[in-house]
Amino acid sequence: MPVVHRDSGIAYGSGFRWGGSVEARDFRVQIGLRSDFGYEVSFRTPDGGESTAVMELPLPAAELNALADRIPDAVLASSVRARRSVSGDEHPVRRMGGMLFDALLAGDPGGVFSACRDQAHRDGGQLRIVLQVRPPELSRLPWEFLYDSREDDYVCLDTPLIRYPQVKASVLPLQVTPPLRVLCMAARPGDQETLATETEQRKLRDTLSGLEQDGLVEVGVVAGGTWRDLQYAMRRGPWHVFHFSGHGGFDSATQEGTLALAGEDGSTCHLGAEDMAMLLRKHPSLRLVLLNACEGGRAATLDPFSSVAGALIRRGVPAVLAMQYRISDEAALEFGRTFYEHLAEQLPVELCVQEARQAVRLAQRGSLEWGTPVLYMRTTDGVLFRMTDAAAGSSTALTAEAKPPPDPAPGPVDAAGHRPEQQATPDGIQVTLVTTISAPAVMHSIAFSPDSGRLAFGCDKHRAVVADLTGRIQLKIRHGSLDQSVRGVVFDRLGRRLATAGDDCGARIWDATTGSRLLRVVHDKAVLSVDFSSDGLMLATGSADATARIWDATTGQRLRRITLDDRVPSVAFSPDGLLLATASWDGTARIWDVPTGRCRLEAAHLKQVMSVAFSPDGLLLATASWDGTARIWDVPTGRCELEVSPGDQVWSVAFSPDGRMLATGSHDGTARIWDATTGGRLFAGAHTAAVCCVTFSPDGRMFATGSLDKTVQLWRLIGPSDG
Amino acid sequence: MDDPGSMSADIIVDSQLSPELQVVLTDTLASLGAAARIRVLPVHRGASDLPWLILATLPLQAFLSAIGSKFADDAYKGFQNAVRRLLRPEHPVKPSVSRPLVLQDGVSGLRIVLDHDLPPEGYEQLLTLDLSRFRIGPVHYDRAGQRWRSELDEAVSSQGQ
Repeated sequence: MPVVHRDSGIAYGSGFRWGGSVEARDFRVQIGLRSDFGYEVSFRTPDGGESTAVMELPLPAAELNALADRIPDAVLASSVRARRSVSGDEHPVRRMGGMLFDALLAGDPGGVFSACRDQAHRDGGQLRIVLQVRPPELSRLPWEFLYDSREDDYVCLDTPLIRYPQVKASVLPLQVTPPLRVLCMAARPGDQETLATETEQRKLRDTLSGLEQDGLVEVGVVAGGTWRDLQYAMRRGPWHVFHFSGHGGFDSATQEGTLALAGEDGSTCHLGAEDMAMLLRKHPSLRLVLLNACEGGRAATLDPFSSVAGALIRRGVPAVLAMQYRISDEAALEFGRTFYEHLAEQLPVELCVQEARQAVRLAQRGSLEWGTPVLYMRTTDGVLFRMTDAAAGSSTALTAEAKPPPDPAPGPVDAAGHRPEQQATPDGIQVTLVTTISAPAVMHSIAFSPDSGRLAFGCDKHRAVVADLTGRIQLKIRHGSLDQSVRGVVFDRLGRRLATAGDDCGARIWDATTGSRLLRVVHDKAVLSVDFSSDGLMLATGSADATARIWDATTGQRLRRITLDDRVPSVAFSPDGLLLATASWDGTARIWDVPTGRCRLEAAHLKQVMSVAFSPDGLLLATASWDGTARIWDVPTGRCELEVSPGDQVWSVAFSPDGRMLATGSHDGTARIWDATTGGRLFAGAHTAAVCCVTFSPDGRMFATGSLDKTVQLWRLIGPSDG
Repeated sequence: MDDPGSMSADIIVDSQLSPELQVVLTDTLASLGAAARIRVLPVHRGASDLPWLILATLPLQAFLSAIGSKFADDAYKGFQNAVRRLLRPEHPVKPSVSRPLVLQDGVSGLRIVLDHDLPPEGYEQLLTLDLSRFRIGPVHYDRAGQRWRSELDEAVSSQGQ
């Protein structure tokens, strides 16, 4: 049974993480892009300590790649049962693992890591390594084999490693009313070697049978091995876990991962990564996908999202467990069996993986296949579900009934002394007005800090301010002269720098703590909008001079100049930093390829386009126009997927961090939240003048609206996924 | 240089290589002074074949020297014939595909790729191949250029110039 925290009134699932008995502490490692000095690595300890280091490759790139290319054969060869030692297979693996460990964690970071791990153990907790590798050439390396020569052991056998892909937004946990629904598919094309998939399914069902009897889990099986069978079964959802067992591979011609489904004639139908992602994309209840097949985690050298796992993650699946190499049938069976055994005991998913790694190692002495599985997660805290108590209601996750309003927020009241306002929508989203903050002047733009703890405002009278969520001002910045406005504000990804766009023809970058000016770049006319690339290395600006420009955010060097037909009130980088969207008074939104400067997409409105925003996965673009509509466009095809009509000039648009909601701010003084898939209206909140800026906090819990009425309204969001 | 007499070879073979051909392989290596241990890969969940049929890990330079020392013997011809027989396209289950035998150095990991249709001059050059020319590999025989080469090494070398 899931652990139920009665004090909160709901069953709180940790993990999936549905246990909660094991406290997870994250040791976050982010490897940045390469500079002249090496790869910048930033570390964040569980207690918030941060440090950086420069990592150099332990070998010349070509030699490192050659060594990496030997690992799959060595790992697979180690699966052969032999009486004699198979240490020869381990040699390249241990060498690679040792080099990676030394490159990443040599010196102080290694000491800090060990201290954090020991402290977690002393406290009865569990340290997790959350690794984000931005350079594609490094993401293909087998970090699961990190080998600490001082300890003479592989790190991942003791400490879970989670790969956190480079996606802009994390996914919020889903509230699930039991049963948790698990869908299994075993593909057995007639021209492939026979696998023990039936045994695997039987063991899975046996393992989960206890939970099934208790009504906590329901296991479904895809009746067939074709994509049509899968499509049909998915429609019988919602499903929360998808388990695939069968063959997989990597197509060198198309440079993408594949799964071997059955064709209509029974022979193999190689389903590409993108097609698989397309099949599963329409099912947002899906939280975890386990690909128990070869090479589900193998990607092209320069495109980490070309693997099946990568494509699924990019399309929004919060967690994918896949194999980076070929895996023997026996190891796959052992891994799957142990994984679900521990999942049934409500261990967090990363600990289930760790237990399963150990089981493979123990069951197949000398085998290195324990390092083949890779866990990708795009949730920041590892929480995939929050399980409600079954007795609390029979509604399913995405159609959960609106719950009674929570206890009144203990603190904030608005500036006028009013009690917080609460609204519950038929869709189960509660939007509670937390506070109304009076701005120093007419508001033009707002931005949350990455930790969701601060807000920046850009206002008239050359003012930009940073405030906490109660409205207490922490920093005042003056940009330009008193008669000029600050049109745009944005934090960088670490929240350390703040960029402002001003009527003085300049954009400036400031230290977000001290307010000292770090950089200034100049246009020919007023700068209306700014955005940092997600890596913080580039700054984009849009101007009344009808250009958008991209700058090196460190040196101020101009990297690109894009000319449009009219002023540019909004710019936005795609999450991967490869695309830049512009909104223009010429009635178009356009998407530009950053490396080449070529226009990739032109989306037309009837009047000025005022605001653009990419969805968290970068596949959709939202536009707001004074023609009274906001639209969502499919970036790859340019097709308009959705249009909503707030009824008056739309000034601003924003996606929620999970991509499911779209916010608009309109001239009629109304901020609205829409279902980004159906276009259904979820919420409307009123100002007394035009709402010129709307934004969600990165953690998805808050929603802020800024208005020409000189106020910011701060709302708390409590959705179906929150307790 | 390694003592050819004490060579051991760790051989991994795809399960499609028949037991009879496994015997051919061990006998051939024994005639060249290498004691072979053969391991057959178990069933795996790959949707396609491995890129090789046989992966032989051994002291590469010593092994090539051993072949060279047998140049005038039947063992040399036997090695050529064995490679052709082992990799003959009609033997694997999928007749249109012939996968190579890969020789891999146990220390450096350098790989030499032997195809079933390697011409006689390829074998001859192999006997005197200076492996110190290669750091990365894989090394394969370029029929057009009539020489053993590693494109990756050449690319790295040209970048360094």
